[in-house]
Amino acid sequence: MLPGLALLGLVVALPFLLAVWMGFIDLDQYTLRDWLGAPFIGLANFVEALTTSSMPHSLWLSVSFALLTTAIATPIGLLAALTVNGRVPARGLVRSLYLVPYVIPQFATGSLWQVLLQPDGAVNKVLRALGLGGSNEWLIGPPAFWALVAVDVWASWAFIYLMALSGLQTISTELYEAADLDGVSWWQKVRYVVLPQLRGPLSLGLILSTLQHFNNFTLPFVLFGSPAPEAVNVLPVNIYQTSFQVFRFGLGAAMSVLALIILAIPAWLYLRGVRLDAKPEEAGA
Amino acid sequence: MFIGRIGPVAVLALLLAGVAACGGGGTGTGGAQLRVLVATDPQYPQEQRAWLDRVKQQFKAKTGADLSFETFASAGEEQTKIQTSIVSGDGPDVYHLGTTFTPVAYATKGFQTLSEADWQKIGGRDRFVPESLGMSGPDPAHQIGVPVSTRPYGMVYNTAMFRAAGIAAPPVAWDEFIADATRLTQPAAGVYGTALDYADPYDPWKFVWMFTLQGGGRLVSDDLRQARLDSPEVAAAVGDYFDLLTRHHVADPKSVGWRSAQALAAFTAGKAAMLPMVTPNAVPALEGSAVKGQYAFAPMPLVPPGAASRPPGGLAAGTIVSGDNIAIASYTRQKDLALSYLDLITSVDVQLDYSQTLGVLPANAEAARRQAEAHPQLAPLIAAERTAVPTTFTGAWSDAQIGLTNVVTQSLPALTNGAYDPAAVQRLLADANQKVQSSLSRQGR
Repeated sequence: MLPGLALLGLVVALPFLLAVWMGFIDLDQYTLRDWLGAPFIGLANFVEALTTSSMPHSLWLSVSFALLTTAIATPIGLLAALTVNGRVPARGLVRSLYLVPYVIPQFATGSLWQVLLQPDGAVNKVLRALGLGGSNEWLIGPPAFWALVAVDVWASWAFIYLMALSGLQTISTELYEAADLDGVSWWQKVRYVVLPQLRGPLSLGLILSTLQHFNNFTLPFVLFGSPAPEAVNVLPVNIYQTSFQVFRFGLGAAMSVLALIILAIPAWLYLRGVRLDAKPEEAGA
Repeated sequence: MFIGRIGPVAVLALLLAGVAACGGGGTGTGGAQLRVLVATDPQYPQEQRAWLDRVKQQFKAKTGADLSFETFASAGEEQTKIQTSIVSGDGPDVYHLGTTFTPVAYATKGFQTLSEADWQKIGGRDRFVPESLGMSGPDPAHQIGVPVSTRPYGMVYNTAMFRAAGIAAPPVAWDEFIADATRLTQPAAGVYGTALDYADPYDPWKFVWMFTLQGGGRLVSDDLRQARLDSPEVAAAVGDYFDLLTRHHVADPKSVGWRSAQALAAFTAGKAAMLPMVTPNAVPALEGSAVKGQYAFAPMPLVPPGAASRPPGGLAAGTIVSGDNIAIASYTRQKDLALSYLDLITSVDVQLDYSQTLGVLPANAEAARRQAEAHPQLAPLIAAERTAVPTTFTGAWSDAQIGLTNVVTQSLPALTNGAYDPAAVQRLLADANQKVQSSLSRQGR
């Protein structure tokens, strides 16, 4: 117990408290060398983060991006899991192929799609071939947001697939057989047998997926660089630029702490709602 | 999760600081190793490794000590390394820094100011191309950076296309540039007078800086107290840069989404007659392309658009003082060894080897003279270095650079539509100006 608590304190509590402390001091390029003597400025960084900085815009973007990508990736992942849950030809191969986008490192995914999304790139060529226009600049301006959503969904839907498949594997075949005896349709089987049984793993997958999308730094950074177009200046990129490119470590820390608090509230409410934080006997009650 | 990593990064730095404070970094004065942080060269990785090995051997022969090179692949990696080392008081003894990052490095107080005695130990300031010292420090008494290479910016033009169009010489004024480019533009053939890279993360701010200074403006007041990004001169400079595409139509509309490599590719494919804002690093690509033997370098035009001569206060700013400096960490206990390294790496022979291996120009004056003699094609760029203008030496420079880049980045959708809104540009400049002013104010406290 004690070693666990000590580890928790060292790995979680101490960094968090120091991040909070950094948010209260004016730590920048001018005070970095003598960081212990950086001026204490109270709530100034937090006020700046919420009022004059671009954090509110970035926060809104990140929330929208996270919810949208999760909403799109979930049915794709669920459907993919259903296709390989039963006995299907080459099931092992298909399962492996499904994981390819997910296991490619994010920086490689970003670099690859940056090439594909060029005006003369493969994406526009395919769109032109399909008669869907295709002269778009996907990496600048408002279309950049949709490019980011598309690439992120492509790279991450397999996470939902994995969570759903792991849940599907735990469903007893007796339930399917009982449903078959009742003569239910495929959709009724999904609706009344599969989805209720997947509630736990899928809910956990939705939470983790939303958080992963929200915190995705590598993909937008590699795809669009910094400074990013306003449409994709998501919070992680904004905080990186604030902290490490213009050296406003105090302001960056304040933005991080605020983001954590803002994220923690709905996450906690959701956890309470789906009872994932409850003890097994409570959850089953 | 990224958001949660900001704290741990700080913690790591703080913990390292504690460790370093107790341990002192582990390299005493009698130590036989000097740690040097150097950028990897993406163009010549193998050649660079071989060159670093040669330097190690020469250093060993000169001092009896070993050199340990640590590398970084990006500006972000470099900055993170520097930030961590400065906070912890432990890390490389010597850093290779880009010239535009040197003012920020100076502001951190993490590097040693060189005394007259220090300069004498590395051959004195006379050893160097004078302009290359422009980004060594805020003034001669407070210099931290010793120049090791220069990368002056100029333009390259297609001599065959110039001859075919009856243009005798490269332009020396921007109106002349626009006129030449207009003559050379044939949209039906996919050929344009110039290639530009509006989406590049590094080049656009240099255009704005150049047009601003040529037009008599400044990005920061000379006393380093006032940000001037919201001034009419800067707004006009942004307009001049955008007008090359939207008003004069001398660049491929696709250049809105191009980075430097794509602009260079357009030039090497014979699709553009001129390419401004290039450095000697472009030579390998040019030599391996369809325009080999049909190109020449020239300094950038030095008279701003719409003017027959520079207005009062206008500077002949064609290129920033660009290249790399070497700085000694303030926490090092190996200062003498570090100075020996600086002496070695800025000596004529090593500078010539460095230049010939990696395609940069020497900062050593004698080596630069010999390079100009041996490679006449580079002479215009070496001449450009002689008129290089240093960027403002302030810790707020990162804000200025990123702010100007952001103005261009956020204007790209408008450029895609062939026009831009000056009022929107002014709003972006005002926002950037506020951030630079904030940094200047913090610097002055």
